[in-house]
Amino acid sequence: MTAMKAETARAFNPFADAFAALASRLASRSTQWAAQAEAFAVFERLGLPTVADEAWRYTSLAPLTKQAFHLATADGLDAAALQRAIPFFDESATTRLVFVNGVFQAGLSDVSGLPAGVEARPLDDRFPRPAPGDTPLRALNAAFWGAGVTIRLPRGKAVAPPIGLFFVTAPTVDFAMTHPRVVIELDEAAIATVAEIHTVLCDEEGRFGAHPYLTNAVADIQLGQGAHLTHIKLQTEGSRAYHLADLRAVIGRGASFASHAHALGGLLSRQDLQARFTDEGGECRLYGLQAIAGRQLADSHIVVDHAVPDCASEILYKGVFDGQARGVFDGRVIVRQGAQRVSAVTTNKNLLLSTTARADTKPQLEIFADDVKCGHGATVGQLDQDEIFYLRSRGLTEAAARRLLTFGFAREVSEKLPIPSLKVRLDSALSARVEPHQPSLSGDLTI
Amino acid sequence: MSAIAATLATQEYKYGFTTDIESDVAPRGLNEDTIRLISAKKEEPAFMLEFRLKAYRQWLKMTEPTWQNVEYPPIDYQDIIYYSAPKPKKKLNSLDEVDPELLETFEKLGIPLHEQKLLANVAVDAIFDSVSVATTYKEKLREHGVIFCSFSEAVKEHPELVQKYLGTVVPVADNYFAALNSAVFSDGSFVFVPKGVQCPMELSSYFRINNSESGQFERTLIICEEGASVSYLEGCTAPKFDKNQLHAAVVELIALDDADIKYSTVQNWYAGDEEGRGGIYNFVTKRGKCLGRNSKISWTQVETGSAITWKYPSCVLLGDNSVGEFYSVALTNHRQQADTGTKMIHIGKNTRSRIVSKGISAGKSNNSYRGLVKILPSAENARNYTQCDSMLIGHDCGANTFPYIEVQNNTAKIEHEATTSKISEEQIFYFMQRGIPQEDAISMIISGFCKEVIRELPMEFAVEAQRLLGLKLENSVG
Repeated sequence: MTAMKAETARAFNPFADAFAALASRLASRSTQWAAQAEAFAVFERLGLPTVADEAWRYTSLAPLTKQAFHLATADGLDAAALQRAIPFFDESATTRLVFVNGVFQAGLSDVSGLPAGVEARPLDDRFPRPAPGDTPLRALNAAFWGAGVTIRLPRGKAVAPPIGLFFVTAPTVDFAMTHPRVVIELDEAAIATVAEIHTVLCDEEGRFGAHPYLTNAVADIQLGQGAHLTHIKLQTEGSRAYHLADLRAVIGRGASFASHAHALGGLLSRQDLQARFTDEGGECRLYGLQAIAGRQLADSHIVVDHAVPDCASEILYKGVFDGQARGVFDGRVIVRQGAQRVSAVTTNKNLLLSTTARADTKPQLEIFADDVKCGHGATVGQLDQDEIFYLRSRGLTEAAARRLLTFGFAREVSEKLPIPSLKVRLDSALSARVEPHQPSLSGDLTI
Repeated sequence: MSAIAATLATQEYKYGFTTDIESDVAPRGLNEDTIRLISAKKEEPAFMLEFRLKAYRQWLKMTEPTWQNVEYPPIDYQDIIYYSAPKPKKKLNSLDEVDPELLETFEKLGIPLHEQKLLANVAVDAIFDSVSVATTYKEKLREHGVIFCSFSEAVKEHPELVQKYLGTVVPVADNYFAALNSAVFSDGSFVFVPKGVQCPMELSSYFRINNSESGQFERTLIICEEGASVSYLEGCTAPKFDKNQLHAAVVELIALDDADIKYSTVQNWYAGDEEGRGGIYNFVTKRGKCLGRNSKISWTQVETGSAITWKYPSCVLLGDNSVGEFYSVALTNHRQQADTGTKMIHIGKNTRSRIVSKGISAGKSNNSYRGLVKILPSAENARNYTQCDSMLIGHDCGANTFPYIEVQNNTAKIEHEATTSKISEEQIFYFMQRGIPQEDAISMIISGFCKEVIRELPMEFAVEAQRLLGLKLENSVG
């Protein structure tokens, strides 16, 4: 049955038309074209993942295969209106790059705050060729290569203000798509904070885009010896959006990688995050929050690969699910042979606010070294009646008590966000989300 | 760790002898004729043959699963003898008429069928290759209305019960190996505890593979009616052969209202030698159905043998307030592989489950816990607690944890915890400075690590299991 479904899903390629259109525009002009065509061939060979693939067993991409997607364009968008509407945050006023519908907006971007020697600009010709072992979605991203950012910090450079990367979609028609790619390279002892904001543009009524669209993002991070990167990802896509993202971080000797990934938007969102240690003394901390409602689905798949000794990793993911929302967490920690004295902790906690919400969690350990400290914990439950009772005994209404407890639950993750204005924004989005029976950011619309 | 690890000298597998007994074997290979032959040899009623053929036809359409975290060369299903029975000289009337060589075998295994007094209060069903050779204490059990006999006997004497329950927990096409078993199973144990009866003694089966070319496909069916309870134990051993042998059993448990089934396993099939030659492939489907309200099914397993262990004793918690438990110790050494765990499917209201899994890996072995806790929307107030602890001994082994938690009801409360540890130098040092030799120290640390599981075993088995764990790890540390 599943195999049959898989067959039909692979038969129709919803991206073929868009690629043909791209070919007619680019084939003769771009030096990149051969690589893009190769990538598309890889995608065609692999097809979209289906629920028959273990890594996608809880998240079906079948809705994507029902119609053709086309590349989004930025034609006819009003720059002044964009300027007002894009939710910039203060800290990145002079260190930001903005893409609207996958097109770089020089007028809205400002990188004057970056110190000399630090590069932050749209991707150039040094586009990485498709590598063997690429996932189909990575290959698809490469095939439609266009919206990308390179951030490079030379040895010893530190950028204090966060570098904001805004990937904004302003969908004017149904089934547009963008394929953002972010490349971040920190040389020895460099320090930076990068905040990726994936959002939909509000229209004049302040409502979120009602058009379905697809964002298929890829990020590659390389950290040199002793480098330190804080990566923030705030995903508040539209209520009918599909957001697929794949981030890979390679962590060098003594380097440190912190990730804060918050998924609030999208009808279906999926974040793959892979952290790999290449030398001793590395450290990674991965924090995530999934706060969704309505018919939304948020899926986080994490792989931490300890191939070398003396590294430490921590995963803390929390989920708050209301309505008919579905949360998926898959955290896999591998400790390879010889990777001694590794410490790895995974925690996944899920709160189901409604009777119809659902959580699937799968924390995994694969350990091939004996001198390690590894553990994981996962919980799924609802608010504690005793705690609600306690708050009510102090004079709070039931609704207020629930709100407070839910907010407190999510807060353990959200308070770790190192950018104050983003933290405020995340908190207010969370407050709106935990407001019972009130139309929230997204999710009350059905597709 | 290097001081503690290393010397992987092996404890000889003491059950590795073979018994020279003339046996009645079916020709090698599998086709409808083999199945008809098995069914005819066992003088089965028509419904059994139909059941087998249906399973066989389903099996032909299925493909062998490959998702498990174990590796083995492809199995040639046409190169297996599907039926091997000690040749009956004549129909046996009492234990005295059992082939003395057979009895001797069981005595060597520590199951003296004759000296039943030693095994006070344990009724034993001994299964040699694929056929049940002797069941003790039958009469005493019958007084209480408990039916405990070989599966073939049950098919002959209680066909209505067999027909009613066979395949209701593990359907014929449940999975590849269950389908194979349904097609070719030759014998096994059958237990029926009628309404309100507390089974007066522990029931026990001993399984023994003797023929080097045969597979063992036994089937166990345990039915506990309203308010009844039973505790059942199984033990398994096999001779040493260089060739891998397939053991694909199916166990079905059914608990009606207020019934309580406790199923304990001490599995010590031949595990192969240090280099991983030979040994049993233990691919077993075990599942219990808590059909009634307030019913309880508890699995306890101590898995120390087999080249590959791959099984997930599961509970389907259908009845309201039903309880499922899974306690497991899986020990792998040398090149053994284990992928084991459980599935707890919560369907009824207020259902509870508890999983305690202890994995110990030594040598070059690989040990995985894989479990599913699934809360369906109907399961109001379901509760699960899972604890998976792994211990690694030496740095060439692996320990994996793959828990799947699927929750579709917000009143559920699910907790999962896993840890990984090792025996530290400090612990050993502490023991040794108190005058306790290293071997004993390790054995005590392992006992402590497994305590929560071992204490769930009936007493006789607990002692055996403790000893077995000690033996298996002898010389693997230090």
